[in-house]
Amino acid sequence: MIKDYKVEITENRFISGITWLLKFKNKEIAEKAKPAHFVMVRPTSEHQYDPMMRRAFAIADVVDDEIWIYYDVYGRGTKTLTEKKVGDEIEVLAPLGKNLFPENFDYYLLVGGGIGFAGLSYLMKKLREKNKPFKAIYGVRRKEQLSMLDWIKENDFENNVIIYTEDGSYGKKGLVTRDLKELALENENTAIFTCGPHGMMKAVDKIAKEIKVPCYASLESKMACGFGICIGCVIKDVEKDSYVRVCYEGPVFDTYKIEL
Amino acid sequence: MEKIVKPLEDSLSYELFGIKFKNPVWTASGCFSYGLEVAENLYDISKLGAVVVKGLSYKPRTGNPPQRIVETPAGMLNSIGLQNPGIEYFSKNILPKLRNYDTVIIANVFGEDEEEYLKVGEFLDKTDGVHALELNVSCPNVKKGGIAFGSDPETLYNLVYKLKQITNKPLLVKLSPNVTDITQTAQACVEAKADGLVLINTLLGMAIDVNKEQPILATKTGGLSGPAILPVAVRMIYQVFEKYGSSIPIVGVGGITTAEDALQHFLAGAVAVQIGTANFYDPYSPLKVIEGLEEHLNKKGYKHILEIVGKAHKLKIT
Repeated sequence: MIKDYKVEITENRFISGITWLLKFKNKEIAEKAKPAHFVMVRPTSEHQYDPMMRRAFAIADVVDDEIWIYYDVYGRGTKTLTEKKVGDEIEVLAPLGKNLFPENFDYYLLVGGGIGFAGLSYLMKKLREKNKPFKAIYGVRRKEQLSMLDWIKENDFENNVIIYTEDGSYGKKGLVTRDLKELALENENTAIFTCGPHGMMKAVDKIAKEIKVPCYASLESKMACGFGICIGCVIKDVEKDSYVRVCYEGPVFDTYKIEL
Repeated sequence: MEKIVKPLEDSLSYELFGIKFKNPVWTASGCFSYGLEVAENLYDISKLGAVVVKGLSYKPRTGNPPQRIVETPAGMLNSIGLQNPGIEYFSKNILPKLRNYDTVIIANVFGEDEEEYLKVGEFLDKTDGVHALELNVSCPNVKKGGIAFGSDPETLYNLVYKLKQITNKPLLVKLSPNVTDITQTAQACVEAKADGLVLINTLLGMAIDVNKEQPILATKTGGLSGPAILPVAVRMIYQVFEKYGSSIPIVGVGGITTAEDALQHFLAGAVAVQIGTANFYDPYSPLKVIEGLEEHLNKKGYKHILEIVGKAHKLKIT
């Protein structure tokens, strides 16, 4: 069941670039949360309507009873969220998303771009817990956009993550797709899981199809509700030739079945 | 008022169109899908007075391409384009599940032309489990039908009149606010013997991306809803109640999040209210409104919600 929780903020601070980290404690959400689940956070208090809509964020990590959300500050909603202080109460609708990452592969290649890496980070933890082999690609334009670098180090994932920067200021120089083909063909029964900017996911999907490797994308979209009732956050399902809801039929989709 | 609605024992319940409503709080079409997402994931929808399901056409409709929604000051624009699986799929696959809940089910009906409207009406007239029909003649997001039927009183009269001939179920008409004088389209519905009026659908609007220098929605324009439109809805309900309040029940919709918002609709003349956009940002809003209405009646010493319907009209400002 989905619930609207009133939670207390335990941390809300600037990380780097335009990225902030929000943490709050809630035992129920922590117990229910699975990789690819997301939450809808109301940036304002009850009866304040501007900004009005909740914002969808991926659950980036769960540490004991604490939920970690990395968010980029783009507009009025996220700007308002930065003004929240430790101890402030916020409304969080959770856990959301019906279709999560499949687990029937032998090797997982995760490809995250920018803040999209936060849509894959909790999966990394769970894959390690289950002893499933994986590698993660983390790509950004410039070094200061590597907002989850500390998280990677703190969680000893340095050997699992290959970092790419477009300007070469950290890690390998280039796009996440630079070595994707080779990496995806290294192991048998590999699947690519991707989350990030639309253009990046399209490029990843194109390569996956070229080399006939399964590819799943965890999508985001402009959504009003997050639980299937507004029909606003749709994507084209090419098999059914109809629009399906990112929040309810997703957020994870087999890219072979959708029009990215 | 008691001529058209009969109060029952509970302070929020009554009989309207021969249907018993446990309370006057409904969910609005297009803002609650077909009810099952909430019923299966969030709360027991039997607590609601009624569920007005998302607009249904005879044939399935894929709807508009994304981007379909955008936030605006204290509101949002949507351009979903009446995506729906068609009445046959609805009646076979969705309605049987929805009927498990003890609430009134109202089908919002839509057609691209008169023929489709009549086919949908005829089909749903024979569909068990649908208690009433809400005629959608005011959707601003489809190229054909929709608003074209809702802005011209004569066209509207003809459509309502013909639908009344083919259905015995109560027929409510959801009116468009995108007209110069809403009492004219209301009058057409009264004359065509509609059973109720629903005021208001969304207001036509546009939002522009200043960096891309183009409209944000794929269809350019969309329907404005949310708290921003509350005063427009209240004004239109007030105007229509003043003219036709004694002959036709009015259902208020537009900008309601709280009981206080809903009370404005009742005082202006609505006999029931629908919660729309608030379901998105405050999913328990309909339940909070029900609770808040009860509290208000107790606090003010009213025995029944019908005592306040249209009460604002007694205040004369000179």
